[in-house]
Amino acid sequence: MQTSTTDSTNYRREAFTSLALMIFALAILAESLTYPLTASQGGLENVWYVSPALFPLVVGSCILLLASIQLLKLFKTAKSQQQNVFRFSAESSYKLSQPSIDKFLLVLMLVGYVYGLIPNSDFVIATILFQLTLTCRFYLADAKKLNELLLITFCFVAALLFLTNLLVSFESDSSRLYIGDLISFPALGFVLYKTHCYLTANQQHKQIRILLFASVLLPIIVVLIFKYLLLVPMPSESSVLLLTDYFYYQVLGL
Amino acid sequence: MIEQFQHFFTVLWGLATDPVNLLIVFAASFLGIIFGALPGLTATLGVALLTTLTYGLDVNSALLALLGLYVGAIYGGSYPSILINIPGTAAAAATAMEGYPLASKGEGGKALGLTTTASTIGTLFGLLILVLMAPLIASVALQFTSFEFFLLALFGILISGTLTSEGDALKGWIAGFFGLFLACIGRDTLQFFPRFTFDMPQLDSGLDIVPVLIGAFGIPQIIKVLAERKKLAQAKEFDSVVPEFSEIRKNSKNIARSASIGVGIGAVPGIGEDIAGWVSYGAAKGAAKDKSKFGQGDKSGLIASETANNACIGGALIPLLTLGIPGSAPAAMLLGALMLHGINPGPTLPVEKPDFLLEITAILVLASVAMFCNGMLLAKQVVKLLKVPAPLFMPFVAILCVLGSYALGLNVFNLFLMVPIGIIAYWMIELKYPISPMIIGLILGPMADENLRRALLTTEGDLLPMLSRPVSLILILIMLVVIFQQMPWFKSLLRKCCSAFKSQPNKEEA
Repeated sequence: MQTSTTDSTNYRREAFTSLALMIFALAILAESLTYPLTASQGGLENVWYVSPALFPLVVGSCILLLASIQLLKLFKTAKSQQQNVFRFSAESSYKLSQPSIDKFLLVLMLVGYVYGLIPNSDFVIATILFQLTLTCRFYLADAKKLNELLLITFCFVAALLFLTNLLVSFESDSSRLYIGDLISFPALGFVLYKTHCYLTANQQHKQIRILLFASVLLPIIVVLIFKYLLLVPMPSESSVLLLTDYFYYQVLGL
Repeated sequence: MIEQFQHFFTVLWGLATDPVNLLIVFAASFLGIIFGALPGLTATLGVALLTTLTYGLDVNSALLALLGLYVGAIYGGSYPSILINIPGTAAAAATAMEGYPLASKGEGGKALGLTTTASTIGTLFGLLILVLMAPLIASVALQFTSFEFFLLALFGILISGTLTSEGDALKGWIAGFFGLFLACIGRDTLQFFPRFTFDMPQLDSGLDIVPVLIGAFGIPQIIKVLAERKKLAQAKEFDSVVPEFSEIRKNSKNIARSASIGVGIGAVPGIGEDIAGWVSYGAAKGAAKDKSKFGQGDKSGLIASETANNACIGGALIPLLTLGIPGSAPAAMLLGALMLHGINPGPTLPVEKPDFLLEITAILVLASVAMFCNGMLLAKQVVKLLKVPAPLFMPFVAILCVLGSYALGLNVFNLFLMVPIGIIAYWMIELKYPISPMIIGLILGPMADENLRRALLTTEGDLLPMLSRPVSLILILIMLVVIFQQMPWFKSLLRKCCSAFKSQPNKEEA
């Protein structure tokens, strides 16, 4: 029974992927057909075989053909095993396993980090916040309440920064980053404080040191190596990195 | 010939006497061993991340770092295979079959010594074939016209799609064509017309290979390793790592066979070290007198797998340097790195840079020596790293992926690109669509597109001249066989033909 449900879920996933691929291929073809096929382009009379549409048309057609064959093959196999490809089973669909939830949360955190935090706040703050939330989730797997709190804080900050950037027009990039830091820095402080409280309460002093090293110190070291040794400017530099700039160039005079 | 030898040793001497170069190659090799040894990190990801850091270096130093890491990572995968029965990289999967039983018997040190020596011999054998074959293939490839290059790109995608997909070649081909679509994004090279850019100027120059590669290989790995929450077993204790030359001498035939298999498989576009390891392991088992020892710590199986996966490196470089077609996923990354340094691999490379092949060979020799020394001296230190839990190092790898994607063009858009590519790649892996054909498609796309249109321009839209050229015809025939082989009726026809062919002499004898 279990195998049959798994098979059915797999067939459905495969079938939807094939359908999505077919729609995607049709979109490629539709877009390619808007490119100049025989019309004049840049003062040159075009012929079909040098048209910029030729190759995308070939590629789109091949994907469409292969995805259709894949779908047909799937139907044939499902029929021979008496499985209904598009039957929706409520029983199997709403049970999300722990790995599936983790995968979804990982994607969510990556998206939040790259689209929300990095462009809108100092890279060091964004990275430590991301690193700490991610490391705690999997390293301190038993700390469920702490992890929930960290995740909510992370997602809230990422969404807030993303929406602020989307809805508010800033005078300059630096003012946007400073506003971002005003949101993300207290959040980072809160997250660090809560993690410290949890680990101290549970007498996990070794874990505090490990987490501090892996989530705070290591990202700072890597950022400093990239910035001052490899001379790679960070994607977003504001409060923390301006402070390190001040120390590196003004105080140390390097 | 003598001049070439002289030049080779001059380059080797120049590289080996420069302390900076030595430091780079030894550090990169050690880093590679770590990347290979830590389950979850791969050779491709290592090369992808290091490419960014080598951007500021000169070509030789950059290649020393990249090839040092590549060779080290393929070898490093054997550590967890032998000590905890989990392959560090796919390339070392076959190694676990014999390595772990050996370590369980208390012969972990011997097993590591054998893999170190076999890997070094395999790399050097691959190099020898590279040096011998590359000029021949390049001279033949110089005769190729646009039709051949178009067909070669298509051939690469089809072969890699067929061989890397798990039983369903259709998925491999779809992945390959998806890669070709990704290559279409940006302004086309002939008319500079924007395709699939949706008025986004960042897409005008097309997709950067490095963020796509980091996304495709890094993000799925991070998601998979963290979500599975796998806990590694305690590594087996081992004594000092000693090379057993007597065992190597006994296995000379096995080594020659495995290295040839490795080079041959490496030279086929898109498939790499993992398949080479399994095929040569199978061949060693097939050739063994006492097959019952296999699976219980047979040294010849271990040697076969490790020789082949490292010989694959030289094999993978043959199509890369002569045709511009990468032989494996890490080689695809190397291609990106070479292009970043202004080197365009392909048939014209020996004309443009006549000494480049010798330089690469010298670099690889140095990388092999570094791998051997690191393997012999630092094995115990690397094994300590196996104790670091994945939740501590994988988030750090995510940061490296972000920095690696960004640092190359200093472009935040590369990050916006890396994440969706990574998610798509993860979904593809979940549905058993192979990633390598997609990457091969992305790399070969511009070559296929440009050469198809150029060929049609010369023949005024006529496709028939393609059939009049022998190389084109051979490529078309191979592709047709590859395609038809996926169809049941063709398979049964082939079987019937084979059985008829076999029964013919029997009848004659009767």
